[in-house]
Amino acid sequence: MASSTELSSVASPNPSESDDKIVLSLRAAGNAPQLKHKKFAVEKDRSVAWVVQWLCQKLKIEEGETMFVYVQQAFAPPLDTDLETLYKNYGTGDKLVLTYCKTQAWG
Amino acid sequence: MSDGDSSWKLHILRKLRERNSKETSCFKELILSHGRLFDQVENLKKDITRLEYQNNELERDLREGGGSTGGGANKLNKRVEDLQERLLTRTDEVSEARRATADAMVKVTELSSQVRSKDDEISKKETQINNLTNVQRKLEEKINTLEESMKNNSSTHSRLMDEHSELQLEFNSQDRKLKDLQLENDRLRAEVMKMKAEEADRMNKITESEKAAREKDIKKQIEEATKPKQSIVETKSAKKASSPDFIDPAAVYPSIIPEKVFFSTEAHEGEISALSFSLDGHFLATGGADKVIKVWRVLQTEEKVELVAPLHGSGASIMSVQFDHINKYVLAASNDFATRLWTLGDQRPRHTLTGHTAKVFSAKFMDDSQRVITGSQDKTLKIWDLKQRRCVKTLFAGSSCCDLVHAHVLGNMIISGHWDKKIRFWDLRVSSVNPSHELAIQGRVTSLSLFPERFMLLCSTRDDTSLRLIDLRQNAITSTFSGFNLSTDWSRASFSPDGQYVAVGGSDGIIHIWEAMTGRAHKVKKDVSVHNRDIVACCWHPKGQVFASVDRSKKLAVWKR
Amino acid sequence: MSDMDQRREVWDGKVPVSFILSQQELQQAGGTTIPEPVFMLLPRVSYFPLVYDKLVKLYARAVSASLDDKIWLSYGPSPLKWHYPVGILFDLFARSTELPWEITVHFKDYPTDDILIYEGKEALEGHFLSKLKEADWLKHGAKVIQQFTPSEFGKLWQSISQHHFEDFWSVNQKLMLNIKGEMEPFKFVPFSIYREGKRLYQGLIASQDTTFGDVMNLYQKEFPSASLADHQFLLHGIEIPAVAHLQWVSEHLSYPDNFLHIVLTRKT
Repeated sequence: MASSTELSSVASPNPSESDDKIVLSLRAAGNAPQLKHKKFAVEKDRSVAWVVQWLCQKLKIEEGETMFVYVQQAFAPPLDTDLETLYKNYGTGDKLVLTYCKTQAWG
Repeated sequence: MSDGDSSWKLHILRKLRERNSKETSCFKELILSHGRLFDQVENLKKDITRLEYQNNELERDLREGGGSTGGGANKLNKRVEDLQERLLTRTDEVSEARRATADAMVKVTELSSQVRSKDDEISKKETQINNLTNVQRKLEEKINTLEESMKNNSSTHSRLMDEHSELQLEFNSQDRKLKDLQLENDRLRAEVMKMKAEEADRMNKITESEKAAREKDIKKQIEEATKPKQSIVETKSAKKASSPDFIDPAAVYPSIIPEKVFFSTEAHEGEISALSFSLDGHFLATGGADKVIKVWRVLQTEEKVELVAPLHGSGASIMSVQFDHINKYVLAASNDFATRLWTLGDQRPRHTLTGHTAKVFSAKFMDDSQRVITGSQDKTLKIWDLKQRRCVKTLFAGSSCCDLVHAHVLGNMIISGHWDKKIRFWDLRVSSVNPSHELAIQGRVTSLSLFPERFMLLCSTRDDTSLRLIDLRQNAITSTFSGFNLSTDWSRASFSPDGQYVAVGGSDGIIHIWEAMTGRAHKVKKDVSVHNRDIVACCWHPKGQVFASVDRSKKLAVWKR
Repeated sequence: MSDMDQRREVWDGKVPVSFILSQQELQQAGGTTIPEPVFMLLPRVSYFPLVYDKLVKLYARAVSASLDDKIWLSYGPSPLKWHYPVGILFDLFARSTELPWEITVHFKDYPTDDILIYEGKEALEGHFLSKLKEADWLKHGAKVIQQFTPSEFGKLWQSISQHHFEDFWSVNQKLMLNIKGEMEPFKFVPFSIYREGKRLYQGLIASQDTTFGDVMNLYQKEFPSASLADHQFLLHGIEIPAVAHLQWVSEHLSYPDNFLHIVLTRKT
């Protein structure tokens, strides 16, 4: 399980980039709860599954429910895809935008 | 994507197929077969367990039914029977099913063969259809070509129609033009005729007035000369176109009957057809087929005939020859359709009168040699004015004119003899171009000779070879002399200057002479050395003492008593 | 020859697999009879979960697997990711093995660290459709697939699970054309490169005037240290000529999810 110590949540809108961190911008969709801060720098080796776990934890999602994560509001990437690959291919500008939703939205 | 790129496509395809053969094809059959066996095994296993289970149950039943064996046995037996029945029915069903299958298979083969035959039929029909479509296509092509050619034809046709109508219009306008021109032509002709007639009238009037003047003169002279009381018969001379040199035949120049030839010669190089003395008898002219006229001087007293000169210039045979009243000109009609005048003095041709469209057979002077009248094979007579040197009138005879004479005694009259056995009389005082009257005789006229004092016309005819004497006042034939044969169509007979005799040369070389009044025949002895045969023309010297004859053997003979 | 031939060969490509039950689990379960191995010819473009039912039927009882015991497969020591098409796994693992490819069927000790949890056929369907949408996002900005009706999605998935060529291509053809239905070069060509033991690589490459060789060059540029001289880029088990037009390769040699899943292995 991911530990929250690995999170570096930055309040400022421009979190710093480092070589092994990807800036995520997490947007809520549907009836998913909003995050207080949207942008996070995450290690690039993390997988989508890790992001889902982290989101469930952060948003205090109950057991049994799950979260769907979408890229480009078009598709849900396989859970074992790493963030670096996602950012390189589908990142916009200096970040990777992910949309999360409790129900299937675009997939 | 060009074909050059498809080499890698083919390469990829080939690689895929290779892969398939390695990975798939080898194992396909095997795995399928294995799968089937596997399934079979599973099924069999299932069957075994089921049967085992059944078996167990049966054993259990058997064991349970062991207490009451009979009942148990019965139950078992029943069960066995049941099972046997069921087995039988099942077997029956199986065999039924098998039979049904067999039937079905047979039906299937039947149906498939039917299908095959139907397929054959279909393919046959298809080929038929193909053939028919081909035929139809060909026919359509034909139709197209025919339509095209028809279109071409109709366009050509319309083009031709247009051309035709154009030409029709052209023709119409040209026709109209022609009609106009023809009318114009007729009008001009009529005018010309009118003018010619007026001209002739005027000329006649002039000559008449001149004649009247001259007659007055002569009358005066005669009156002055009547003292010596010469019996110059003058009564009819008022009608005569007289000139001072006119020899009055009644001034007693009795004509001889020729008996002896005192001069003969081969006058021409061909047959001689024309012969004439001059009015004063000094000259003799002969014309022949050699196109030459020879003028001879006749010295009557010395009984000598000398050649004066030949006259050349004609293009063909000379048919008639005549001196004018003053021996200035010689007039000759020729077969070259022209009439010519030579001056006697220098023997040079002076005028050529052209206009006839065929041979001119006879030409005679009129009106003091101011006018000439010609008769031609072209069935016309033409009057020529020598001053104007052209034809002033054309008379339409309707038949070839062989000979003509100008008769003063009947007024200004021309008498012409024609091949259609008619003699035509033309009154020149009227402007008509038609004869005033005609006289029909029994043969083609070859020559005419006039004795004006007694109004006698001698005419020789070919078909029933005879000479006829015609009284002009009575307009009837008075005598006929026959017994000879004419040698040519243009043989000339003549009166003697005193009117006593008529002579004609025969084809037998004899000169036949009759007395005009009595009809008594005199035959002149044949002088074989001179005329062997075919005498063409003969005539007396104006003074009657000499006679000349010419024949087809180029001979000229001059006779005396 | 039409280009459909390549598509047909790709679709018909099958690999011979023999499934055997894990000896270990069998022993643990105390089973005496060793079940016969099951031989199958699996389509390269299909997915292993589609035969899970049959395998479960055959083997679950032998190891007394309960409903909670989820089936999973391995080759040798390597668990096989169920969301990869069969062909990728075969090219990755089985190139130098004797055929048929022997795969072990497990029911116990699901390796959650290595492979994703399999909740059922819906998971596979969802994964497939997601990959399809991702591919279309790369090709057309997702505009074409947005037009698809649920029945079209259903037909696509059914044609995969029934392995029906015509049904699949009747819908999939649309994804080869733009929203107007015309042929147009894709914006980006969807592809992934798989290497044993390494994370999959996915990059962006345009399709206009590019060749398959450009993909290989892109990979070399991304990993300059990789010595590719003794490696080969395999697609559906064959080497693609470097001059092949990438647009054409994407249209004809993609997997059903419209991706070119390229495997980079050592040359044998």
